[in-house]
Amino acid sequence: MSSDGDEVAEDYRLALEDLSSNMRFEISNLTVIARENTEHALAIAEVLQQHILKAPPNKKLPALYVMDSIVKNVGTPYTLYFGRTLFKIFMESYAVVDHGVRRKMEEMLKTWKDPVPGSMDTRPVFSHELVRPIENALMKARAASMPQQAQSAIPGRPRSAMFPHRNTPTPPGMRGYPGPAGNFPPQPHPFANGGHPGEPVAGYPGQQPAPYPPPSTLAPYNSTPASFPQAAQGPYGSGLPLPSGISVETLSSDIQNLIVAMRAEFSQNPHDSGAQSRLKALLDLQSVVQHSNLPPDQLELIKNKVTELAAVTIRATLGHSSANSTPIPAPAVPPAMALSVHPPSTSVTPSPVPAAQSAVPVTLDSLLGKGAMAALLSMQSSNSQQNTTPKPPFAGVPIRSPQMNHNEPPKAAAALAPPPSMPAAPASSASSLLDQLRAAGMLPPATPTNVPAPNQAPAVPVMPPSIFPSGLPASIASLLAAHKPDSGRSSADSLASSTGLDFAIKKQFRPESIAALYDDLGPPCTQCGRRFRTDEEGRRKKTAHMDWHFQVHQRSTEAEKRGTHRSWYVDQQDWLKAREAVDAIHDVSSKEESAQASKDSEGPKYILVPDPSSGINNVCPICQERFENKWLDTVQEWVWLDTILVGNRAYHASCRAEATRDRESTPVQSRRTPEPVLGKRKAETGLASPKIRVQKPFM
Amino acid sequence: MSIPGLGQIPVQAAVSSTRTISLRPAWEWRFQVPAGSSLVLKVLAGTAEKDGVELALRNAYTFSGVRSKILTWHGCELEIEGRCDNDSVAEYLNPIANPATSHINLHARLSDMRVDATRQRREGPRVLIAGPPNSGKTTLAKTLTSYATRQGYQVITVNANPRDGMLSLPGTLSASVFATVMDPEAVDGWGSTPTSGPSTVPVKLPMVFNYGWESAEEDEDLYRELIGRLAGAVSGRLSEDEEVRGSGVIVDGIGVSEDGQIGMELTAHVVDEFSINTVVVIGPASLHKQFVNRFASEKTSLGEPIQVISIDESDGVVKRDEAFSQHSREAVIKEYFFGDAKRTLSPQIQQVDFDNLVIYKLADYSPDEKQSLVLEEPSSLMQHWTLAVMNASVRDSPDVIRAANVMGFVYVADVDEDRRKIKILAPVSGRLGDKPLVWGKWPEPYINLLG
Ligand SMILES: [Zn+2]
Ligand SMILES: [Zn+2]
Repeated sequence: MSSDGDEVAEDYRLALEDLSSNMRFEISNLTVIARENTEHALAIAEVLQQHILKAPPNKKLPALYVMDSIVKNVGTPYTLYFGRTLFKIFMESYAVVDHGVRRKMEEMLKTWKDPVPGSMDTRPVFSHELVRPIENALMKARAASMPQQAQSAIPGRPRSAMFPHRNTPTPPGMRGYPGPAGNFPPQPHPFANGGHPGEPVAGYPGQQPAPYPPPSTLAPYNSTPASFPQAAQGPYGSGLPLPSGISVETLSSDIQNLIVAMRAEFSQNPHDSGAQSRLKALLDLQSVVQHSNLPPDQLELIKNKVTELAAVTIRATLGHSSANSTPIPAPAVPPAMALSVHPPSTSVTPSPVPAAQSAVPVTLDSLLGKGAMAALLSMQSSNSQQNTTPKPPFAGVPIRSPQMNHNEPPKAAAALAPPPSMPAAPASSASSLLDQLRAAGMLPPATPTNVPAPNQAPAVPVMPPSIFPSGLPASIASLLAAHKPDSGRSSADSLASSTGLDFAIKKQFRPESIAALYDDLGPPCTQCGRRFRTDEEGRRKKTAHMDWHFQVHQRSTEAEKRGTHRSWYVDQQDWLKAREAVDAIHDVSSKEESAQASKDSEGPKYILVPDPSSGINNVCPICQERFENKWLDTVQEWVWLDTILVGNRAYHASCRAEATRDRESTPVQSRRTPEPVLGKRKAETGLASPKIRVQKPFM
Repeated sequence: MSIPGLGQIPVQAAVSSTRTISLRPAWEWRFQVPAGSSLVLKVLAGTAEKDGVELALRNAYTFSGVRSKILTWHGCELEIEGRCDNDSVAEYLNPIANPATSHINLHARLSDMRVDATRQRREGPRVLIAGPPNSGKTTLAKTLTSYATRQGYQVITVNANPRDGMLSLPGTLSASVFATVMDPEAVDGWGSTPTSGPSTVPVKLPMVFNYGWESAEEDEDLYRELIGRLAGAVSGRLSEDEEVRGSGVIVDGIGVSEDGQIGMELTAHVVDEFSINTVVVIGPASLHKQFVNRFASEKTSLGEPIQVISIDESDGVVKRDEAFSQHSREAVIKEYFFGDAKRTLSPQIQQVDFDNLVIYKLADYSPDEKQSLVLEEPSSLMQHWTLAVMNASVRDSPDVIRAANVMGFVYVADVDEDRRKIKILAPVSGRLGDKPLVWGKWPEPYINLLG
C-alpha cells in the first residue's frame, strides 16, 4: 500500500473516531470520501471494519451506518470487502449493543436483502448467501431468549417490529438511513452540492453495482466470522504482489464476474454499443487469460488491476446510466468513446495474444469502462508520487486531490495538472491487448525479468507499439498522424492516422489549452466576461469595449422611450461587405437618430486608468492638468474622463480636439468584387436589397 | 487533521430557493428550466462556461425554457435561484473522462490551423459537425464558435440543419460571422439579430435562406440549391474579409443516421460546397468509420485532404423531447417579434387586402414536379403560420424567389376570407406588397402570438 493510501486510511480512521452520533452529514461525508478514494477502498474498508469491531458499544451504530451508506451508495468494491467479514462485523457488534441499537441493526439487515430502493439494479445490497447466516444466527439467539421476547412483544410492539417491513428502514430515494426520525432523521441524504435526494450524479452510482466477485470465488476468504485476520494478509491486502498463488481459474472467475456485471448492464441498455463493446472486450480478455500461457507475475498484475478497476468500471458505467435515468427522459448510456479508436490495419506488433481478437477495436476504455484509462492513469500517478519518476499525468488534479478546499475560490490554471506526459496508448490493435495494458502501465514490458508491482514501479510511460517511432511524445505522434501525406491514401491508412489523431483529441488533457481560453487572454470584463490582455493593445481594446458597454447602457433608456423593433436581415451583398466591428453598436435607427447618436457618442470619452508601469503620462500635455481618477459606475472601472490615448500619450479629448480639429475618416470598405475561394462557385450578387443598412461604428 | 472531502458539501437549504453548487474542475452542472419559469444563476467564484461562453463573475444570468449545462475547468461555485425541473452534477474522475476535454482539444487543433492560415493569409479550417440527430452537434458548434470568438477569431458559423434555426427561425439555413461574445441567455443559444435599438450583448448578422421544411431530405433539390448559395456567399466573405479568412468556417450539419444510410449524401454535398477539410463525427465508431470510408479518398476543392475526427457523444446529451423542442421553437418565434426580457420589441400589426400580397407556397415534394413554389391565395389555413419575406421582387420567377435571401418573417394573425383581409404581424412597419412571401411547412404554427 502506498503511503498515499496509508494517509487516506489514517485520516479516515481519525474521522471515524470523531463519529459519535448518527449525524447524517458526517455519515454522508464519510461516504463521499470513500467514494472519492476507491483506489484506496481496501484500506478504507479495513479501517472501517476495525473501527466497528473495536468501537465502544455506543459508537458502533454510527459506524455501521457508515458501512451501510457506503455499500448502498458506492457499492463495489466496498461491498466485496465488507462482504467477506460481514458476519463477524454484524454479530460481534450485535452481541454488545443495547436493545434499541439491535433493533436498528435488524432493520438495517433487512434492507440488505433488497435492492437499493429506486435503483434499476435488482440485485440485493448484499447477497443472500451473506445475509442468511446472520439471520439464522439472530433467529437462534432469539429462540434462546424466546420467553423474554414474547413478553416484550405483547405490550405494544408487534412481532413484526422485530423484522420490520422494508418501508421502515430505508426511505425512498436510496440515500436515507434506517432509524427513527429522532436520532437519525430520514431526511434526504445531503449530497454533494446540495442536490436533491435521488438526483442522479454521474459517477456516483445510486445503485448497487454488479455482483463483483462474490466471496465464494475468492479463495482466501470465506464468509465465516473467523476469516477476518486473514483478510488483511490476502492478495488484496497490501498491494504487493504475492509471488505465487494466482491461478488462472481465480483470475478467470474474477473476470467472469465482471462479465456478468457487464451483461447485466448491457441487458438494461440493449442499445448501448458501449456496454456491448466493453462486454466483448472482457470476453476477449477472458479468452487471453484462459488460452495463453502467461507468466504468474503477469497474471498477478492483471488480477490486481482488474480488481482495482472493477470499481472504476462499475462507477463509470453505472454512474452514467444512473445519471441518465432520472433527470432527462430516456437517454441511454453513451456510446463508448472507446470504439472510435481504430487499429491500424497493419499491426506489426508481435503479441502473445491468440488471433481470436482480430478485427475488433479494443481499448482500455472499452475494456474497463469509459474513463477507465484516465482513471487508471491518475491512480497510477497518485501511487507513484513518491517516486522521482517523470511527472505523472494527473498528479495534482484537484478532482483527485482530497485536500482541495472549496471555501477559497478555486485557483485558476494552477489548479490543473502540469502538462501531462501521457503514457500514450493509441490502441494499436485488438490483438495487442496486453500491449495496451502495458502501455498504460498495467503490465510490465513484454519480457519481464523481475517485475515490480505496479504500485512501486516507476510510472515511466511505456510507449505502446504504434505506427510511430517509439519515444515520440504523443502529441507529436498525433500531429504526424494528422499531417501525414495523403497521396494515394487508402481508407486503412486514414484509419491508422486517425488513431493518433483520435488519441490527441480524446485522451489528452493539456492544461495549456484551457489556459489559452482563460488566463492567457487576460482578466475578464466584469460585465460580460470577455477577456482582455493587459498589454497596450489589450488596454485599448478594453477601453473601446467599456465604451461600448457604456453607450449601450446610455442608449438603452433612450431606446425604451422610442420603442424598438426587429430589423430586416441583411441581404447577401450587404453581408459580404459587412465587417464585424467588435465593440461597435449595430443600430438601425433613422439617419437623424444615428447622427444624433454619433454626436452623443463623442461625449463620454474616457480611458481606463493606466497602470503606472505603462509609462503613460498622467498630465495632459496640452493644458498641463493632471488627469483625475473617477469611478465610472456604468463600466465598473476607474477611468480618466474626457481623455483619449494617442499612441502612448494621453490627452484630454477636448483639448486635443481643439488643438487638432481633425477627425479620422471612417474606415474604407473594400469594394472589390468578391473572389470566391471555396469550391467552384462564384458568390451571388445583384439581389435586390431593402434599404436597410447596418450602421458603421461610431468610434 | 485534514479530512479529505470534509467541508465540501454545502448543506442544502431546504426552504430557500437559493442554493449553492460547488463544482470541481471538469465537472458539470446540468439543468433544465421549463418554459414559463426562470432560473437565475451567478458564478460566485472560479470560472464557468455555458456552451463555451464564459460567464462573468457575479453577473446574474437568467435562463428560461432551456436544457443546458454549466461546465467548469477550474472549479467554481454557483448560486442558483429559482426553479429547475431536473438538475444534477456530473462528476468526472479527471478531465479526460469528460468528453468536453475532447472539445477543448479539438478547438486547440483548429486554433493551430487558424494561426497557420492567418500567417499564410489563406483560409482557416472549414469544419463540419456531423452525427446522428440529437447527438449534441449544435452544442458543439456553439462551443467551438465561442472558443474561437474568445480568442479573437472571427469565424463564420453556418447552420445547415433546417430543423432549428441559428439567429433565425426554424426552417432556415443561415450563416453569420461571430466576432463578439455570444449571448448565453439567448433563446436559441446563439444570440440576437439587429434591432432599431442597442443590445446589451452584441448582435450577430446572419444571412438567411428559407428552406421551409423540417429535414433536409424533404426537398433535396431545394436543400442542395440553398446550401450552394450559402456556400457561395461564405466563400465570397472569406475571400473579401481578411479578419474572417484565417478563422475559417464551422458548419452545424444535418443528422446522419447511425448506419450512415440517411443524410450521408446530403452531408457529402455540404462537405463539397463548403470545401470542408475537417469533418467532426459525434457518435459511434461505426459512424465514424462510415465517414472515413466516404471521405478518405476525397480532397477539398483547395486540394487538401479531408480529416475525419471522432468525438464522443456527451453523456449529458438529452434525447429529444418533442414538447420541449416545440416550446423552444415557439420561444424563438416569439423572441423574433417581441424580443425578450432584456429587450422588448414592438412589432407592427397590419390589415392587408388579399390582392396586395403575393404569397407562394412550398409545393409538396414529388420527384417529377420540378417547380417548388406555387402561388397561393391567402386562406384561413395560413392562420398562425409564419411566412418568410423574401428579398426578391414579386415579378421574379419562382426559381429566383425560392433561392433569394430572407429579409425576415411575418406572422399571420388572422384571415378573414369573406372580407378578403389578412391581419399580419410584421417586425417593421411599411408595405409588404412588393416582396413575395413564402409559406413553408416548417416551423409549424404552434402558437397564437396575439392570443
Ligand atoms: Zn464586457
Ligand atoms: Zn487638457
